[in-house]
Amino acid sequence: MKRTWLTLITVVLLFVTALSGCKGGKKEEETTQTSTTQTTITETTSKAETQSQEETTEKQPVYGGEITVGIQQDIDSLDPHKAVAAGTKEILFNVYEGLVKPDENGNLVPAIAEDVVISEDGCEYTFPIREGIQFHDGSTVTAEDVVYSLKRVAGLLDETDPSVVVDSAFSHVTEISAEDNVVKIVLSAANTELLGYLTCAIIPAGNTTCDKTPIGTGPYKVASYQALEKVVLSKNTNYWGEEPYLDTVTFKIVADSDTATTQLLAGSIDVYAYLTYDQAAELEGKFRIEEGSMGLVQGIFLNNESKLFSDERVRQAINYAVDRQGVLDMIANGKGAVIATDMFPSFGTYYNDETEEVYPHDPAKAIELLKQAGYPNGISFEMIVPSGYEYHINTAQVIIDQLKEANINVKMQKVDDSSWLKDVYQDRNYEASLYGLAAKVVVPSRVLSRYASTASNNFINYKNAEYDEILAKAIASIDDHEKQELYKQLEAMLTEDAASVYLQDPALLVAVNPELEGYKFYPIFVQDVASLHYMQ
Amino acid sequence: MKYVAKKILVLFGTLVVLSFLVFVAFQAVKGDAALSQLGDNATKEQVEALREELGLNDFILVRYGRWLSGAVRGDFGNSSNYSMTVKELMRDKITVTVQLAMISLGLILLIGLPIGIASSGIRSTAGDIAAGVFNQIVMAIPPFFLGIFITWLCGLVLAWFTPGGYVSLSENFKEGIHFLFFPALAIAIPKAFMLIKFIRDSMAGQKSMGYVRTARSKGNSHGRVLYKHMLKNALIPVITFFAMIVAEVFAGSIVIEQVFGVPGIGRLLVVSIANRDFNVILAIVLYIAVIVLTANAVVDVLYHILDPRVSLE
Repeated sequence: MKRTWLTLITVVLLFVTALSGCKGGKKEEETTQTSTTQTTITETTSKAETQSQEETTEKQPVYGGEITVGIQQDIDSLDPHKAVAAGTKEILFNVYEGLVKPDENGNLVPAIAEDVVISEDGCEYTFPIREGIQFHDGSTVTAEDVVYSLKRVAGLLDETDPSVVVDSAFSHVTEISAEDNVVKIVLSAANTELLGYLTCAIIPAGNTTCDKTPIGTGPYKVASYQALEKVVLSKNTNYWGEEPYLDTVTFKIVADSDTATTQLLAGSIDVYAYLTYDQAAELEGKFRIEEGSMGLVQGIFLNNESKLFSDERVRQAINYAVDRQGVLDMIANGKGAVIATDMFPSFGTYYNDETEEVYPHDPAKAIELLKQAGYPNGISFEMIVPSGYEYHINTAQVIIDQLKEANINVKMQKVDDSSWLKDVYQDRNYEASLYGLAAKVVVPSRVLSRYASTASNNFINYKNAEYDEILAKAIASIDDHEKQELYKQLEAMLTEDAASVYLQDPALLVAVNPELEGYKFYPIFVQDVASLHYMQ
Repeated sequence: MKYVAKKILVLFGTLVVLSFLVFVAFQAVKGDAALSQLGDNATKEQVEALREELGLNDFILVRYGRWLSGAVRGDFGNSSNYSMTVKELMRDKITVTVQLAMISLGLILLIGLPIGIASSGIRSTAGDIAAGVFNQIVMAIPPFFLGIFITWLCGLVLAWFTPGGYVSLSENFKEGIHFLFFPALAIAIPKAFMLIKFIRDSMAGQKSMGYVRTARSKGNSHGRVLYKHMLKNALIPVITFFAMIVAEVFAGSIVIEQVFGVPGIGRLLVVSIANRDFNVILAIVLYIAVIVLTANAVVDVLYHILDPRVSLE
């Protein structure tokens, strides 16, 4: 017995010696090393000291310094025209710019273009190119580069690369040309919303290997990229616009938000978005928690051609049976915006807020509607949820519970993203799926054209001839007021027809190192690091 | 010589059969690289065009033939998810995993061997039970829990390292080793205890053998019998067991790499499966197969050295 104890003690001792050996090493290193995190921590403490010493003096933004931002997934491509994942666009926003770029309020402001002129009939766009903008490699941006980039996105180059995501918004473009320093785009039909797509990145003409040689015009350039590890951005000292503050920004891939919380607490990352409410509460006090919106329409998407959901009454019944505010209260402490149509509240004048009142929480009415539809004993169906998103899974669990009250039994089936794309998006072989559709450009028609009867991304199988007609009219309209009214009408139709069960635009909780100022939110989620700065 | 040639032949044969099986098995998996690359807004035509470009539309045997003819020349194709060749991508990640594996193995041996051997001489019923229970508990700890626990204790509470502070060894050797020590510890602890248990059991098995009695009767001391006679014999099965550990550790610990943010093979495998990056998945499966087969071959040779009666043929 005694000897066994000896053995145990040996084990423990070995363990401790191994660890403490390392501890000694660490102490030594702390004085010598200059890694990102360590520098940040040192700066933090020194600043805290300065703060306590001279509390009366006003703090000023300072240039310089470096930060690490935690990101959820690896980027899918450094080529801005190939990148699809929202998590990639989030970062590339700092590297590439378009003719125009969005500001915090969702307005499009000229970037590489000095000005935007749209002809009265909405068929011709002209852009004088801003003088003296340089790419990251030092070459000057010419009209030729702009034409090349736009043609690449529009699929109009002689040699096309199928990995480049050609946006159907460009299908009416008949000509892209340049004269002197002015770029002209001609459309076969009026579309004033094309401007929203002209946020697409401008790259040097002929740079087909953008994913290996990313060259843009943004405030930061890509210094290095290690797959599965990190993307390091360094300040573009020749930036034409407002000078960015930080010298180096590292976007580091963190496996999940629990790991991120640990790393925030340990000081190895300074900024992390996509926290759950509980994690944010845990960090409160040590980090500044900023709240924005995810720019996501989360909903239970219903296959309108499945046997069960081809009946409008059944779809409406589910709309009545869910308690939207209840979902928010349960999983996000009430944060987030309740919606009942496919549009983002952050799109402002294009958003129809009346739709929110159409379906109050009313399980009795749901049961009644189901009875009318021939289901006196209630219904049951399978709901597909992408397994990688904790927020969706949590929502699904609350929803499943709520629906039971109206005799609706739901079985959740978790699948990975690729299976979701195959079963739900491509084959449309599903009944219901809880999912989030992200806003990738601030263009309402991009969202609403998904519901056109023949749209290839209409995985909901919503078909309504009247809707198609109004949609075409809205896109062609060149009067902004009329456009807004038509869009609101479309949004109301989606609600009344109960195309699906739209739930919310979830709140986005971002932890920011309290030493940093200037974190901005945009209507589409991007991590604009150019405005982030330390104070002194 | 003949032995080596035979082993190499078996290795290649196994790899060919295995790669074909993986090809067939992957047919049953939903979704493909084209779809996952283009996302939830692509048109059917775009997906189709990319599928054509990636060669996903060809008949399976055609694709396999194409892959095999490249592979024998050392070309494992391109990753569909990363704009890199599979070789480039794997080289980086294997380096990381191998580094982590070496440190882990070092720790396993450092903890497991001395304790295993020392404690195998100590036998008492109560002690055996206590050690057994403790051992079972340590072995039963799930790796993710141990990983999170070590991160919390050593990283947050004791601040011996910075969670998520991975740096590659080529960038900063000292700091890199310092960081990797902790994930390695998480990998090593359960395995080291398995090793201890295995050594003890194996030694116990030798106790009743005739040669032990003979050695004792010749007047050898307890320690001498234990460490001179029994150990050598007892280590033979331990080597097989250790080879299994080696193979497992080199294959990359998916969970530990995820928890500590180590960009190795394990994490690459997870990401590649999610993106249906088939060439990479195939390459990782083959890498693991090579490790397992090589470890087994090395075991055969070691057997032969330790006990010349074991023939290599």
